[in-house]
Amino acid sequence: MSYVEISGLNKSFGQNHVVKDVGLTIEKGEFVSLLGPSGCGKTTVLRMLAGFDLPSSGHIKVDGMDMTKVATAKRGVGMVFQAYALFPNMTVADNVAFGLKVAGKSASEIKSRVEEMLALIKLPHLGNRYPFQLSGGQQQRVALARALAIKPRILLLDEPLSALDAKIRVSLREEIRDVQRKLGITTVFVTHDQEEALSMSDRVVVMSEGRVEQLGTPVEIYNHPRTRFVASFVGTLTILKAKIVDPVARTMTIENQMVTARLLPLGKAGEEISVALRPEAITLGKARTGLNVLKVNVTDINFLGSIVRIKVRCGAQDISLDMFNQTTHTPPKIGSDATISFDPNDLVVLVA
Amino acid sequence: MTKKIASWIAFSFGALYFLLPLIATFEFSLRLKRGEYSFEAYRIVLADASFQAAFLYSLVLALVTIIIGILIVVPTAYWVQLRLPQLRPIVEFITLLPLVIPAIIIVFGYIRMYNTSSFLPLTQTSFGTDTLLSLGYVALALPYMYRAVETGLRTIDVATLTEASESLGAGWVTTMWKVILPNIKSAVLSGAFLTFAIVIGEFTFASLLNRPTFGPYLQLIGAKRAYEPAALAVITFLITWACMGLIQMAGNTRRIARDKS
Repeated sequence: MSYVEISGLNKSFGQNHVVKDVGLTIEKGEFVSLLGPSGCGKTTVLRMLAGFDLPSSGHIKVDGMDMTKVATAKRGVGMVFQAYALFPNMTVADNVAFGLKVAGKSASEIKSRVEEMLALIKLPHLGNRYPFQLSGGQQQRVALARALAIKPRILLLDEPLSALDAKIRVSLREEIRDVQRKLGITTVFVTHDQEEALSMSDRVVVMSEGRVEQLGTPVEIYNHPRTRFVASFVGTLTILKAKIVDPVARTMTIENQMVTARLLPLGKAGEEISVALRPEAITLGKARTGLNVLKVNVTDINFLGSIVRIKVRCGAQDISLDMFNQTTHTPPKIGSDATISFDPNDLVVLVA
Repeated sequence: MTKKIASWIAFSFGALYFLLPLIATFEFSLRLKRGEYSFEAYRIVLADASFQAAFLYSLVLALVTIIIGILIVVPTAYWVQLRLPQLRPIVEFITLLPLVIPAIIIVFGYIRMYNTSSFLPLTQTSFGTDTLLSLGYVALALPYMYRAVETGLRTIDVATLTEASESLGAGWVTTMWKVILPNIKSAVLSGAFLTFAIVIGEFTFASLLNRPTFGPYLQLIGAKRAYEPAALAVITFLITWACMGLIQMAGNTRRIARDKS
């Protein structure tokens, strides 16, 4: 039995069906991200986990207990909000102590727990400051400490990094992951940023239009997206039309040029399918035998610093590929003919 | 340049229009003793036991009104903001009614509804009438109190703060008392001072319900004496101004705290 079990979860606001039959299990100590564009229902799922919204149907179990209709205050969830939501009238220490005071803990216990939490977020000297005297990054760390102080069953993070600037975002996400590992706390993280989700999570749930599109480890999600949506949402990807030639030999044609895939779901010869390729999986020129090769024409070159992104045209379809910027390699000229090659393993066949 | 002069003229005219009667009243209040300026009228008024009684009576009434007002308005405005935003226009309309309906009509309605032969004969006892008067003042101050509190609530993220408090295990009362109220303290205070100013100077309700508050006392003195009413008017002005000053201060405390950091 998993630590958190979500089954058949639905939520409608009036006519608007925002969460559709979401099912998910989370193991104790796992870090799971809900990833998707805005309006995909990820935040609503999190709010139902927190008890702020009640599901229209479905069940939520935590540690074997049915939490579906339990009030937020009795769920034992720690929540960190995008807008920090620190209590402006209280000092940092009082904010962290709030949940403990509500729970009726003794003064000495509260004091030591607050000190422990402030040390955990590396702000032991800021206990007497007020929230408005802190930077955004510091406020969010305090919010994390406040949520963790009550030793919650699950930690819920609702886009906690979105309001911060890029540099702090990266350092804070490492810090959050660090703290989460140290405490071994089961965590659900909502984000629309694929880099955050991939870098922090044990598993990622990609959502679209209220449904779970794909659930897997970051590597699975990135390397083997199952649907067109996941492929286009996570990372940069070229989606191409292909025609099956021989389902058994796993061969197909892209613009009348023969290629092979590692896996090919059942399909008939002549059927049109969608395949996807990551820019970094493609090499310019013919590298070695056993690779798929396509004849193309170079249409654009973008210098991005460490990498050079090259756009090529294969028949009527555009393909992007990345090359490391090396002084020994000169990029091709726009308008010149070229060949590109890629491993059959990297050709991802999409099911939807 | 001419624009500047024109606006100065307009400003001076406005200032004179407001200040002259006030200066004249103040000057007149100092002339109790023939041939010299003195605060004799103020001394007489302040030493008058019935002034002290009337003022104390109004003071207590104002405090009770403020407490009832806060207990009614803060949870209502909070709830409307948090859970029932669709009710906002209705609630706003209700809170504006006391501005539209003259006090004399309200008090006649009260007397008709709560007289000695009604189902709830509040006017039968002094305590009942005081209760009625206080509740009437709550209604009278409603537009100011509600607006002040609502403005305060708009400056904080009520929904998220409530959710944060709930997620930390707090119930409704704790959230209200420890999180929401302290963060709208200055708004509640300004509502309270406005209520205070209204109650201290109110005449119609108190006179028709026959309660010995400051308003009817002012009228009574005015009918019998010459210099003392002028002194009383100046005292009332000072109280009102003090209230306004306190509202300003309450509004400024947070800004000052922020600037200091």
